[in-house]
Amino acid sequence: MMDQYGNKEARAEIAMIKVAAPNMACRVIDWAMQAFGGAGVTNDYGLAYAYATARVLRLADGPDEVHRNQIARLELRKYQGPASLSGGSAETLPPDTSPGLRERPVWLA
Amino acid sequence: MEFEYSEKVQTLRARVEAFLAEHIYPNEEELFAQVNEGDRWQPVPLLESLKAKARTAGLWNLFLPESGYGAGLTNLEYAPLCEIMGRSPWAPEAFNCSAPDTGNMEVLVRYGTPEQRQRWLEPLLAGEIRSAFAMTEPEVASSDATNIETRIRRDGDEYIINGRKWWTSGALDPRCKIMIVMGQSDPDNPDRYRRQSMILVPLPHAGVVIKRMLPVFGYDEAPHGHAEVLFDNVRVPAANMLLGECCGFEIAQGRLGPGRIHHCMRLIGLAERALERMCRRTMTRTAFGIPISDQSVTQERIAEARIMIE
Repeated sequence: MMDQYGNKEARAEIAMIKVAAPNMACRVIDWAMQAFGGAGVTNDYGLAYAYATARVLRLADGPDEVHRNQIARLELRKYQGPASLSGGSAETLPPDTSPGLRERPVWLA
Repeated sequence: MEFEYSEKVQTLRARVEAFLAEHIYPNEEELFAQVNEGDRWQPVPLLESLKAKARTAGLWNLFLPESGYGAGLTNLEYAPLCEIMGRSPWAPEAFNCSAPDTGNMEVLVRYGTPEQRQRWLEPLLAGEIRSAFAMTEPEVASSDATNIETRIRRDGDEYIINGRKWWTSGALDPRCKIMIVMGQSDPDNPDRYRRQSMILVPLPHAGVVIKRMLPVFGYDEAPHGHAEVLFDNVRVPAANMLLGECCGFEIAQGRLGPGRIHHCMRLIGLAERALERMCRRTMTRTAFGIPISDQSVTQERIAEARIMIE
């Protein structure tokens, strides 16, 4: 995306990877520390330092929350037009038009 | 989705991997030891010699798409290389591909004047100096950059900068000779996104006070580090303005995109190395009569980690 359309057009993809990668790294490094037991939190295997690096990147260069907001805004923007072509309508249906209720149950008749 | 690497990228990958195997992993302990000898905030001699080796090997400035200054790789081609560099905290700098310099060099390539590029981009590309990016401020919620309060005021042929920044990474390194500073140049502009500018401040500079180092979970990351910086009537020539007054957000969009994904690429490598260690560790140890790697909790975590990394 960035290569073909530029950084601005790729902003949704950049925001998504910026949320996904640091969270993924934190989780994987956390599990690795757990597997090492006490050795995982020493400086012997670089895992504690790796965790610090990954964790700070959930804040640096924009915190997760800012990127998620942007992803949501861009997602919401896609659905400004009519839903007739995409089948994604979410309008409240008028009474009695719901397919399951065409034949009214006896106790409502 | 499957991404088949081109032959060029496969060759470069193998060469970057070989460089780490030969020069970075065996030297990691010594690199940390050199930092701990004497003044922690001095360049690391061993790293400087590794930089020379990487440069000679042509493994240098591999980022920088669409520019004659770089290696001519696209972001997609650079990603697998950057990922390998992320496996070691020392590797990115050895290849002159470290934060925040890559993002700052991209700014100078895209928005710098020929004079600005000659004075700061060229020594950055040569790995002779380093740089910093001063945006975040302790006084405001800087995740919304329209809140940034540092003032950049025009005064004749100069701009005067006043403000307080923190998390300015790399500012403590004595090789850091240039800082990109974001601040308000037009606080009354009705368009919130036209109030900010970015300006170049050479270091060291009268009025720029490095107040302290900020640790991350106790790590100081010397000699790079993250600084709190005060700007007390800092005067720089008007020619140091980047792109033009009020263009701060336009530059931020261009700069933060590549800088961000470079971090993400490196994190994939970091996670790969942690997973490798997890696998090797659990294969060699036994608890409650079964190798830890054969226990279902471990296998589930290993599988989940692989899925998340991919």
